[in-house]
Amino acid sequence: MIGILIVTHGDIGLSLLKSAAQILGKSFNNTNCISVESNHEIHTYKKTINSELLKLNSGKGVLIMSDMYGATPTNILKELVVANKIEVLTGINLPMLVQALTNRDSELKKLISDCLKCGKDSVINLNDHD
Amino acid sequence: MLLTSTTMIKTKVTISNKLGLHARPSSKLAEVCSKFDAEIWIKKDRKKINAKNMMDILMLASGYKSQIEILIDGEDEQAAMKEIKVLFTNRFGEES
Repeated sequence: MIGILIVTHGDIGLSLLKSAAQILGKSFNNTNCISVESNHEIHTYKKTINSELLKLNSGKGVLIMSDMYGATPTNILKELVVANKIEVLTGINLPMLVQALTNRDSELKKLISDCLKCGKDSVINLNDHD
Repeated sequence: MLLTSTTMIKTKVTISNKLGLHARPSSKLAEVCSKFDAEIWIKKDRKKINAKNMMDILMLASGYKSQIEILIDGEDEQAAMKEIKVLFTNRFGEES
């Protein structure tokens, strides 16, 4: 099973996970959230993230999702991507997270591309939609 | 010699629960479909999606009284169709 790590500002990740659990009617193993707060040192987050990655990786890899590209949670991950060749999706939304949680037996590369597509496809202007 | 199913079974269903195929029914439907080896699709208008993927079902945005078609192909297709029909008949347990 692919592990899932959500790194966001404040409690966004926790709230998304809670809503996904409510929709899917279950809780999830191998899943965790890290809330990035502005009053903490960045290097402590790097340690926490690295430690979570080890815990969550059961052999099939870990999908990491963050909220805003260019903002601190993503910037922390960006440094880890360079150092550890991990893969990160930014712009997390509820559809993207549900897609990830319901397809965790897939291959990591496929899950990443499916989640990216799902996240983008679910941003819709209802006025232009059939 | 391997005997494989060569025909696909299909049925049309009208969504009868008031909230339509929203998140929780989509999740239940994908979960039930995933139990079977058969390939299962849902057709709505010009779209055809994999019924084992909850988000694909959800993105059809099938509202109350809309019509979808369920298509199943595989050795356990009859059992799958039976169980799927029960979900729709019971309105996904949302209304009495």
